[in-house]
Amino acid sequence: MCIDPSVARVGYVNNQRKLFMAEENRRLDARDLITIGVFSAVIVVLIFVGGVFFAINPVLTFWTPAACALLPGPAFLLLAAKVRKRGVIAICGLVVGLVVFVTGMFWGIAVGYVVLGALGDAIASSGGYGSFARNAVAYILFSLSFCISFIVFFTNRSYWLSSMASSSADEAYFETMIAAAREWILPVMIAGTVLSALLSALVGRRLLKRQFEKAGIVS
Amino acid sequence: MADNRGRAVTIDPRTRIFFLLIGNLFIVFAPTQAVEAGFVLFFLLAAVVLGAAPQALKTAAAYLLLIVLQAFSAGWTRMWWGMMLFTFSQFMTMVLPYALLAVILVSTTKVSEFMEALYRLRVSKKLVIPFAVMIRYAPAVLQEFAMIRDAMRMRGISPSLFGFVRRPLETVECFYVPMLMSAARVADELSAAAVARGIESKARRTCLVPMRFGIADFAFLALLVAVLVVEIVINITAPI
Repeated sequence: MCIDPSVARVGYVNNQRKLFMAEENRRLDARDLITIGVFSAVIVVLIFVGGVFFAINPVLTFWTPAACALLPGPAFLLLAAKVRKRGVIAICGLVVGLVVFVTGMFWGIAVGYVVLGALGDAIASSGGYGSFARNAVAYILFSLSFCISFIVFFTNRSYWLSSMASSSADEAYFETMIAAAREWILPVMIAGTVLSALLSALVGRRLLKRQFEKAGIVS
Repeated sequence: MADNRGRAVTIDPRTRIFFLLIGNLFIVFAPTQAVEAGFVLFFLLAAVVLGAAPQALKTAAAYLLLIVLQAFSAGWTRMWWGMMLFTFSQFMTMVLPYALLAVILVSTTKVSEFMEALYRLRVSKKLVIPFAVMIRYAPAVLQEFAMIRDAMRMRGISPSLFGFVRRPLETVECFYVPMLMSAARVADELSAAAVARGIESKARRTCLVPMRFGIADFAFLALLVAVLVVEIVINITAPI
């Protein structure tokens, strides 16, 4: 292996093109899986950094999904552009969902990342991961996972509370949250999340065009 | 090499993974805060036994501080800042037990052990590799944030909200470009290292750390399951 990563990649392709071309184009190999892992770490951290200040406050908590959607867009698009194989976004969603589950958030969010990630992957792969519109739709779906918790909160509140309020002393948080909940919040929250995700994807497109394509990180 | 320093009992990594999952359920089904605090105490004890004493101490201090903060701010909920402090401390005490469990697993289990354990649990390579890399790299991302912030200050770009409002696109670029560049570089370097170490080999992976389910593992798991069953039965028969 060469030390310079750009040289290493060219050498790898030239040396093994005849052998691995067919397989390499279709299936995720170890390099892709590692790339997914690294970018998932970035995405997880950006989701948490964006959302944490909203999640801790019961009035602002309704804007957590939009805040979580705002930051990871560029990382998400760069991951899709770098790997470009079926399953990238689905596996990223699986990893993020696992983290969300382990950190004790509402289980619907974790399921959302897995299901919507797979759905987004199908859409993005139909454009060969090269269409900005399809990648952006995939990112918007991915970001909407966080809304699921609140969709359940508004449609089946008793169930949501029973699965969240583990100890009775936590009630003040949820009482304030219920007092702050209005009917109009849910549609506005979903629309806000979509807009925020779209904005993040647009910033990502700009960065990809202006910086990463020039630097040879993606082609 | 098996590193057993500071670890009174060696417990199979698979047991530690189950501990994380079952511990999660403990907290989900905890009926009162006293019970939850009891479980946190149990987790802390387990952390000390498993060799994560420093992390356990830090978490215990944070938990105590939060409970004190909660008790203090409970009397001031009419004031807006009292309410904010109160709900904040509540949220943190809700999240902390889960964080503690995750910290115990990550700090007592090496990545190679963790991967081997997941392979033995028949988890697909396509999930194990990204997940292991993610756990390893996430702390580095946070460190990189701090370094990027310093670098931005040195170049006279304010990494604050004010700087963002004044020059949004420039600030955003100065933040994302170094972060994503380094992520891309790390991904390439890690892949090169992993390929050199034979991650693509079709042969079965081996691990230098012997991995066996011993009496301690069965006893610990039995204890966890028993407690969980008792807890769920109490929850069903006596709804709060």
